[in-house]
Amino acid sequence: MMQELLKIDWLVFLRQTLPLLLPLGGGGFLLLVGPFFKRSHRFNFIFSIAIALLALFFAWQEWLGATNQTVNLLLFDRFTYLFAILFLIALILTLLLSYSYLESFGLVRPEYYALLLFAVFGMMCMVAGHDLMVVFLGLEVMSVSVYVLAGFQRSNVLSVEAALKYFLVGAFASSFLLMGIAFIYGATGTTDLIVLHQKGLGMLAGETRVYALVGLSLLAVGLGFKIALVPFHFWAADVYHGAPVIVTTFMATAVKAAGFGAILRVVWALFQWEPLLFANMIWVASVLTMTIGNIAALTQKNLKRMLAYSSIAHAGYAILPLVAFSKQGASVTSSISFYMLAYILMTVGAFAVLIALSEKEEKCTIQDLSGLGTRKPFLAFSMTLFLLSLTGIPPTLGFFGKYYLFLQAVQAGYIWLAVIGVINSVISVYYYLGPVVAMYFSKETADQKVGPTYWSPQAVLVVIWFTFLGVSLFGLFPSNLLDLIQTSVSSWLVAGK
Amino acid sequence: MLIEWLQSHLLSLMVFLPTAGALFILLLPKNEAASIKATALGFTLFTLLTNIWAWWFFHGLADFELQETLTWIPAFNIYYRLGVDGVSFLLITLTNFLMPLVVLSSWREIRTKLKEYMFLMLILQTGMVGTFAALDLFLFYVFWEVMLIPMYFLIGVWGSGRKIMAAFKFILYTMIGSVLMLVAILYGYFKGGQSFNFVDWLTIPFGLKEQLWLFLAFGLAFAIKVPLFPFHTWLPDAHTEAPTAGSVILAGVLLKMGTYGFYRFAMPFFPEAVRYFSPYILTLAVVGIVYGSLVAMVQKDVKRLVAYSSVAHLGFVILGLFALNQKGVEGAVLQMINHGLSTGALFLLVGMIYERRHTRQISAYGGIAAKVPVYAFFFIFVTLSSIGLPGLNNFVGEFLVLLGAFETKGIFGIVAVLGVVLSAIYMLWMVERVFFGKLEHEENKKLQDLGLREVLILVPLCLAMIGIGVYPKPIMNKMHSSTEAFLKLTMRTDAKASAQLLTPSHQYMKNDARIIKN
Repeated sequence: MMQELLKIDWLVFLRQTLPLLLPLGGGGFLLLVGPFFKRSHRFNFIFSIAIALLALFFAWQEWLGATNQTVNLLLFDRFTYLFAILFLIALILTLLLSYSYLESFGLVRPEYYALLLFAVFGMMCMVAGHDLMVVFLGLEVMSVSVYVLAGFQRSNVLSVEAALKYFLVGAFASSFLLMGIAFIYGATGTTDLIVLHQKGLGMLAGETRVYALVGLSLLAVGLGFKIALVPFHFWAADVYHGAPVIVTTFMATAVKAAGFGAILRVVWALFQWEPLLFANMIWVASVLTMTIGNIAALTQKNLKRMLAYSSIAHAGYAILPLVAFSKQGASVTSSISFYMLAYILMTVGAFAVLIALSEKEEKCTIQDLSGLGTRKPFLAFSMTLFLLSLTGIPPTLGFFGKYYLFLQAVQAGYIWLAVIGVINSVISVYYYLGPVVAMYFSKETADQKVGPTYWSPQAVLVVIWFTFLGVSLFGLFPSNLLDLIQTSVSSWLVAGK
Repeated sequence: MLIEWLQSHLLSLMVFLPTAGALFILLLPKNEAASIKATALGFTLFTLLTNIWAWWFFHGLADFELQETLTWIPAFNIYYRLGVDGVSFLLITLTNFLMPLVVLSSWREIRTKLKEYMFLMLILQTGMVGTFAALDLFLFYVFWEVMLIPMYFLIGVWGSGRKIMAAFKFILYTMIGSVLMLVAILYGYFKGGQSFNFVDWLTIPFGLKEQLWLFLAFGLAFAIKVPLFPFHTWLPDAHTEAPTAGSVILAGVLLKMGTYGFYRFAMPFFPEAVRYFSPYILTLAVVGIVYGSLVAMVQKDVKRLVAYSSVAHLGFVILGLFALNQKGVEGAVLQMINHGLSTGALFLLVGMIYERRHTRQISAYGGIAAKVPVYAFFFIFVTLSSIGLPGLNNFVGEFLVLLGAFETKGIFGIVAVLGVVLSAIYMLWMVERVFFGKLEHEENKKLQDLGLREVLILVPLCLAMIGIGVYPKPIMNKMHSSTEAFLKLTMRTDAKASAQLLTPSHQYMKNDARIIKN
């Protein structure tokens, strides 16, 4: 062991881990120093943004020069950095959304920023870890931070309820995950994902096979909880609804992407144990998740809740291509990664519009949007774009992402699954267009015309512009993005073999 | 230099000039109504000019002309590939011809959110022209869907009555069809060696069962759009509640997307499925003709009546296409254009009177011919065109379709003739109740006749009706060899035959080189 440690080039290792260390260190720093700067919200904000940007810069540098190196328990390939970039983008956008929101809701505390940074550190560990234990630890770091964040608005009962619910369910899920890892370790004697992948079926003989499969199922349950797959989705609506909307944004995007990153790593290591059973599990979960998510979203009046259910549905779409993992692993992985990016941009955008409307109290019901088309044309226009993108109507990024997902299913011969997927998209038209109807079609009553004077803080507008351009431009010209993601994935799945 | 460059990008120009106009409008201040209108009209006229320019470069060969190819998303072999044959060129011309008129017709009707309205109109034009010009299936799908959203807003924001329901119905129906088509496109993409190129698809050896399923998937999308009975139920609502311009575009162009889809994609791709399904589709077409006419007859609302008449007219188009002979197909194509002109004009006329009286109920009128003679003249003229008076456009088209139908599928022809008779009944009866008889309603006594702007809108349409009715040859020339090629492809018996069809005389260009013929 010591020998191994001595062999590492620590300087290189430091550089490689910088994108992880920066959020960790930054979060720690904020916790230590923050109390002395309690008044200076601005300092905390700028400091976290700077940390995130710096980490983004290093992650990009490392992406360019990535060498598929595994050091200790971490795997530094382009896929890791790709997801690191995704998390950091989600983080930066969330930070920009948070500043004015925290001030107007009286939630200014340095811990908020520290927790976000810690959570991102955890996410990166989830994707970078090539050992199940690291994945688990990363997941816990992330989860614990997000539990606290969900309850950050202590004065709001809903927020506290959300935190408690999320914590209880999450802890429960974590125990499943841990138990699964234990079973897998018991069956195979290792928790190293690369070893598991390379040895594949060879490690399983006789009765250990049963333990391994039990482990796999428990693992699936644990991860399923985290990304809110049906039937493990019950917490999602209440938590998303109760948490402050900035935290909801973060949960719906970064946390979900992290879950998918980890799932891809785990699937890659374990799918070969029982490909058929695995594919069956996936399609059942996918069909249930998207259908139930969509149907539950149909009747929601509160957009936070609606987006919560829609995010369940999107998780259903996103796991759909996994059925084809054994046939075309690389393109399946790229399609899911691509979708995560698309999903982050359009969901952050949609929430950002809601945040732009929420001064003092959250304005998240469909009613609050009525007549927005006349009052705030740009906000309404961009909200429409995000909703169309979530529906999957071209030429938006969401369409291309969905196209890419369904392409995988069709290629692998799961045509009926793609058909179910697209029919679900049609169902989703109904509720995604609900807000559009409110914004543009409804007649404004006299009091709405005067209406509350909406504030639109600059930082929030920056986020809206950024996501707006991302969703529309990448929707029209997805080529470069596609190359970026395919390169990231192939360096792991194709070259890494 | 510039001229040459423009000449080689005529189609792109027609597709994206309206987008440029739309973006330009976005930059204009909201309350500058006059300049917004002028910009919209200017850009649509400019597009029309480009179209006229392209008319000289378009020769009506069996080939795709005015081709343009650019790489778009190389990872999936997706190209920006445009090109037109006779039929799509004529439909594009129809679109570009209708657009300035439609913009003019909105001059006074649209009072709220004018900027958004014109913006959407222009985006809609991009979608429509793009759909007709796209030769890459992915690109086609994108344009096909792009069209959907502006129309949804046009109905939902500026519509009347139960507009929200109508808009939802429109978008849900269309989406259901088109997403299934997307899956079919993806299936063919893998089957055919990962290509979205239209020409490559012609040579994919689909088995019979595959053809049937794929035809159903494509066909459903197109049948809803046409609309073929029994998928027509979205149409009366959407047409009735839409603002005038929306109805004109819906009837004039959007419905043609469905028949064009059959012509361009569903039928040449899956010839065996066409043979298998054609009796059923023909049946639905004639049922549509008779049903549409009968329902139109009992409508109390003029606009709804015209809407139902569309169901009947489009039945003729489908009848002609599936008659699978030269006369039938050419008649069908001509009918697509005729219907765009006549029904478009009818919707415009209904819109004009609605602007004055704010009602479309037949019973609210009666005897107004004396008060508004110019209006009555145009209305009766268009009505006569619509019911197929010899010497006007619809006669030529319907006659050809019926000839074609009698040649191969006699029984359907006989039923369809009934439709012609019925159309005369419901239209003339409506005209009688609206324009003749005693002037009873007090409000009608103060009706104003058409102004110059309105006459200017109608005159080009009427001239076109006479032109086609008297001398349809220039149009027939443009489409003749294309329909021939279409028939050869649709009648082929196996995929190998299609490879043969793609040699000398029907050489659809396969390479990505752009040609400029002069």
